[in-house]
Amino acid sequence: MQTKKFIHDIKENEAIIYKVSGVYSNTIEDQKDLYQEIVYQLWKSYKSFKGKSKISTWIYRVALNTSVSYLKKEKRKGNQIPIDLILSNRIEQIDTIMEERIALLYEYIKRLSIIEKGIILLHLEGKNYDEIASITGFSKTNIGTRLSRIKLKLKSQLIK
Amino acid sequence: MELEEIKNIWDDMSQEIDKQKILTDKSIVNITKKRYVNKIRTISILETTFAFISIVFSAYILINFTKLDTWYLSISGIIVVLFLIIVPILSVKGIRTLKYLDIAGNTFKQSLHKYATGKQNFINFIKVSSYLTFPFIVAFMLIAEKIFNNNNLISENDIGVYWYVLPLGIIIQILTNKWILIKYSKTLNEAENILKELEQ
Repeated sequence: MQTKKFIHDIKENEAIIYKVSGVYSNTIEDQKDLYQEIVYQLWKSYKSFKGKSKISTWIYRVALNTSVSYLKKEKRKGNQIPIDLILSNRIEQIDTIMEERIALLYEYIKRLSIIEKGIILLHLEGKNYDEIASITGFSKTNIGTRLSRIKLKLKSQLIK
Repeated sequence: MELEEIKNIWDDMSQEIDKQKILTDKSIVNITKKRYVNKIRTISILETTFAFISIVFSAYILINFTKLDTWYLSISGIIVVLFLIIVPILSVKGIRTLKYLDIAGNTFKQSLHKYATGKQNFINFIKVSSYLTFPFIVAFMLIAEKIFNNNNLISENDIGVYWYVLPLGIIIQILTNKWILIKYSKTLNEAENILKELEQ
């Protein structure tokens, strides 16, 4: 029963895992590894989820924390289940312009610091300050300050 | 591309991702199973190897401890045994601190803080260990010669083939320390930057 519920919750929220792993990895191989590591960590921690927050909030938290713990790890090729993470391979209708725009978007985000990446990701996901604060542990005021700084940083990158 | 466009592209991308499904029931189960087995295997290999080497060497020295019949050989024996026991324990502990962050219990901020401080501590530990390696080798050389060949390198004034060990050891020590500084300086800077940024 627990496994069925877990599979259902993961499938419902797999886009979160895809996006977090995309922001915190530099190659497709890394992304695949991080993606699977997040799925594994979610499974390992699933029992501790008491339903006090939304499942998506919990998944964001575990995914971001896994990305932090992943920073130190070597690539572990050969330990993966084959999955196709390349967006353009999965979406037949995707056009080249869209693909380029997504690549550019990731390029901008990847220039940010580890902390900033997490905050901008949650902001782009439409999370309000309360939700971002609950996931990250920063105060709402601090989130506001950091987001202003990130926006300035991104703007200066866009101008260059 | 304007700043507003970033949000628009993200939303477009999100819509596309939402339409597609990567995971199947089978792939989720396979990922969790395979990762679980790999992790158990990695942990046990690392810990068993450390424990095995330490226990074998330490036990051998302790069994032959009576052969270390001068105060400096006894002290060398104690140093070697302590080094063999403490360094692997601290090393495994350091790796575990970094490896086992409370993924579900910590907030992002706490995880980053623990990761950065854990990294700093671990690198400092590696630095200290590298400085201790040379005294360890000298002590090990003294007791090994005594235990295996019943030869006291100090009192018999016969250092034999070991005449080159001291200068060579010093050169290796200098090169190793330099290499460690180069190898870990980037990681150490990153850890420091994370901690500084967390304070802002």
